[in-house]
Amino acid sequence: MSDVDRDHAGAQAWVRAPRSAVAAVFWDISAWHAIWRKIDDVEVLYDDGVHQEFAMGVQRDGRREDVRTIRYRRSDGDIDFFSPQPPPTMTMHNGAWLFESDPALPGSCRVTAHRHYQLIAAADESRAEFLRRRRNYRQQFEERLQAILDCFVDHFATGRCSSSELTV
Amino acid sequence: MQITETITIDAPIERAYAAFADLDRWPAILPDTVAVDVSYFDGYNQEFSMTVERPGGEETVRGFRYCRPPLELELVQTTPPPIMTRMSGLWSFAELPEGGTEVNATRRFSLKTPDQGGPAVTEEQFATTLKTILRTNLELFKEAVERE
Repeated sequence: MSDVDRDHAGAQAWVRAPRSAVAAVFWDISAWHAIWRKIDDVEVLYDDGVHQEFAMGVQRDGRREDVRTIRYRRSDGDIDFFSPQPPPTMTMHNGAWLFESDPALPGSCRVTAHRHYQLIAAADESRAEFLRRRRNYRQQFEERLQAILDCFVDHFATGRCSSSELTV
Repeated sequence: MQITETITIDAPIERAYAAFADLDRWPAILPDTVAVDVSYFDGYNQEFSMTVERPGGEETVRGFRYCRPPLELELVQTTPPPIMTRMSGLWSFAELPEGGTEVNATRRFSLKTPDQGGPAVTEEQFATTLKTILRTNLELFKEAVERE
């Protein structure tokens, strides 16, 4: 498998809160389970305010997945990350949470999610089947990312989450 | 506490950067480095562990680096040396107009207190020791790169 088998997924949402407040909640990974209900548990292994390592158990497609992720908080609050232990369906997984304020919308912040990942091809899967599965996976992954962002939108608007039951 | 050391290497920036970036080369360059294991590397993000010889025995640190060729390597140790609570750092590389590469190494650290297992010296005093180690290591890298 080569770099051409790497895929990208993304999503975006407007959150009604100042950029600094939104970025701070995204960094506080221990608080995520109250916002994104697919999380079973989180263990923060290291956090010095700029670098963070955590292990997370999360539900995907009705099953628990264990991932370990390392995050880097840039000086402007944007967050880059990679998963040395990616989801079991992937060989690599990294991405970013980007936060952008707009002077025309004071007190609001646009959050953009980026994911770069590489799915594992099954041994008996043809190239055409693999490409079809990658297309489907990307669509479901983007729906999942959008659902996560929508939970943060709800969290800042009402303090609760209305995540739907997604399969990815 | 932060310390910085700088050295000039008579080699193109790409070669200087490559020596510091390739952890598999470290045991051949630094005599106190016993073993290195890179458990993850995707071309930018890197996770590693490294075992070094110290007067009190072998120490294994663990951490990750962000590799930004050929300009920067940023380091954080999630498992720092046992006398420290924090250790992070940066190598930056700059081409010199007259040729060669300037390597700037910065380390930020916090020591444990003596009752936590830290050394019986102040951070200022320990910084002097660490600067000497950092200087020695830079000189060893300079020798290795210029010998290529």
